[in-house]
Amino acid sequence: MKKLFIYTLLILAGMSAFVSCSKEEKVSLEKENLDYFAITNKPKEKWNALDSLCDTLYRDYGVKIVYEYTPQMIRPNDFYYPPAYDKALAYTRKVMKTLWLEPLKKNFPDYFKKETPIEFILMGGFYHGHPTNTAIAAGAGFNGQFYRLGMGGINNLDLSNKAAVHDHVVILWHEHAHNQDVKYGRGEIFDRISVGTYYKEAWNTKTEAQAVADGFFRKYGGFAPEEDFATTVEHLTRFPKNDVLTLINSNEKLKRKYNLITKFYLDKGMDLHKLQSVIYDLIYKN
Amino acid sequence: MKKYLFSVFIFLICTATLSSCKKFLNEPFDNRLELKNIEDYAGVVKKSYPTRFDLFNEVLTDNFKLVPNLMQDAWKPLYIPIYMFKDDYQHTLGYTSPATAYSHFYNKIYMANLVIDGVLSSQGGTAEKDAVLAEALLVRSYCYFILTNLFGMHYNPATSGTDLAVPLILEVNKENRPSYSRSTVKEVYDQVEADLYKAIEIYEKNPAVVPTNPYRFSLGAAYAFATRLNLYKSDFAKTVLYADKAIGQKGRVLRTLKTDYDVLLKSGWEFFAQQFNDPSAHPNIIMAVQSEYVHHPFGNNWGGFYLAPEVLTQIANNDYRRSIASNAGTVIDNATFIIKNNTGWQTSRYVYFNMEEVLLNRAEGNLRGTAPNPANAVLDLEELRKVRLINYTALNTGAMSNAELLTEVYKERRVEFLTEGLRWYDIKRLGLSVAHKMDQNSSVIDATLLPNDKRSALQIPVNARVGNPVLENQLNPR
Repeated sequence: MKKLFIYTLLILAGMSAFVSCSKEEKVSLEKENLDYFAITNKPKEKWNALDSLCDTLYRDYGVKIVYEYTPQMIRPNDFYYPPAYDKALAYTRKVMKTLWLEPLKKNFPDYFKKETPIEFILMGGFYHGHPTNTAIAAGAGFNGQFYRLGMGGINNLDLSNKAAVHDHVVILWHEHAHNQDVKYGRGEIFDRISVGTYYKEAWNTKTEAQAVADGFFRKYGGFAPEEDFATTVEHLTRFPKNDVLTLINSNEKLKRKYNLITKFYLDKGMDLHKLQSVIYDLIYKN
Repeated sequence: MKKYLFSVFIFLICTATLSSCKKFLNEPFDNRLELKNIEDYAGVVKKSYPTRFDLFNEVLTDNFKLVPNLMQDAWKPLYIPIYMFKDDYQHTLGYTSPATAYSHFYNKIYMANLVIDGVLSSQGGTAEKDAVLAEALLVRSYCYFILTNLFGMHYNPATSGTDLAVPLILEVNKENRPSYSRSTVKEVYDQVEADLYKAIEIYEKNPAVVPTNPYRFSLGAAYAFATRLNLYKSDFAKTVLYADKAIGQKGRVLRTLKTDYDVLLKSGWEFFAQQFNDPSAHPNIIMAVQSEYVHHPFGNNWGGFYLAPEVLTQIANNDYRRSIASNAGTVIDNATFIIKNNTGWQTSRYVYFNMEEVLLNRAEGNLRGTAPNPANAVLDLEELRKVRLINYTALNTGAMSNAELLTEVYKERRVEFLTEGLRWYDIKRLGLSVAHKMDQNSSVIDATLLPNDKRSALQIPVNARVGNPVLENQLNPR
């Protein structure tokens, strides 16, 4: 009797174990890759030269460079769209590798390790462009999330024009400054320096000289504290140390912003004056 | 013996049980306050001041444009339909809306009615009782004034006898579940006037007991209210009369915006926003309310509604009112908002009446009356401009017609009262049209409110219709 009972129990347990498993539905992973950009993940056998280069950069620097994606409508008149293949290949070689990641890892290893975004989006036109009107440049970069950076205008960037390339790289650091701002916060003390004196939407009606007199490194920095922070970083990345020091000594607000931001970056392992000289040398002395 | 003891025991128990209830039953079951003394009624009337739940009306005006990506998602089902002049919005959300305004103002009317019903038979001095009665009348009058201007067409002597406003409830309900039908705009305006003038009469008779606290109806606040009421009725002689009286009470003292701007430079946005509507630092504020945060859709960087381009062009670069604007989002969003209130989730302060309104009401009254007095209107207009402009220069008013001066007055009203909930009533009374777009970069206009549009009388909210089916047959025509 006891044996019969144990057998019955075992049969019932076995049945319930197997039957209960059969109802489980397969978990669908279809939505896993859905992203703002709907990035295409290509199988390796279909890779082109740029895919191989991106793979190498990913392995060397941990940055996934995205150049293929569905054109994305942000608002009815605002598009993101991918760059032309040839332009993207040349850009990745020259700007991504030679001017951004390589010198960053070599000269600022700590900063590189902690602060480099894990994704970089290449865009054919500008942030605010339209597929049929690529000349409109109301925004250069993409800094919406602190793990992701991006730059626009790649189809129109003439890589043989040193001034244009220098400007582009400086703007890249401007966009990265937004990431740093979002990640760490520029702080109340920075906001207090120019509180109440921002130009807001009237920034474009000011002259650069007026902006400097009002305590902004660039008139666009007068738009709002976010841009004030980014343009300060941009200025330090663009101009040699001596020029910067001369300028900040002419204006108390500029000096306070300079002091706050150089410390903000030095604390994280980045000397912006050194960065300026590295970028400048790479572009103009090679 | 055992039986005897048992009977005695039972007798004692019954005595104790039945007699012990007597005192207990004399007490109110939930310790509620019984209104007996004048102090009790004064306490109720202090609690009966409404919050500015009508402030959502800024969304309906031409002052704001929609920037959906800079809007808290939870607010979209509420404020986007309102912006599109639709009657169906998510009324169950507790944020400032016609639905919340309707129930809130009626709650306050209930409290005012409670005081009006009982205060005269309470214990206390006659003058004090009269003053409390007057204050309650003012609260009720103000609440009905706002309700009729939200849910009825604007006052028009030709049609106000038939235009529907809101139910007029003048007594504390003693029935189980009464239903109320809507009164006409004329009936409600008549009641508003009757309550207001009776209160003013009492206040004028007993000035010693009239409140002077800026968070309550003072005599100056009652006059300021009378100025607005008469302006909305197009009775310009009385508009000027009561404006004179309000100025006589409070003095023609305007906000010196430069002082606020200096506070901003010194202490930053947070403190600036906290002190902006503080009557103790701003004698121009005739009456204010400290209440919960109700300016959800505008006046902050997540509300979704930002200053329309047309209104921005009306604020000159040398105007301090431009200095109290800030930006939301990026330069591409082009989203500007004006900060006048606390922008955190704490309590905030809102203005009922200020001297700027009294002055501009008087200027308009002086220009539109049967015997226009443009010289006085110019004086008032310039008085305001002097404390708003950096490097003030007077207008060349000598060459201006009355109509041109009036345009200047309207321009000042629009800019001065941004985010203060007055523009919607100006749109209604002046018969202006409003065009709203869903996408600001598009040329398509998605909703247009025509002059004297039927939709300017907001629909009676669903929460009011539930349980009062009479209203279902009295909805505003569409």
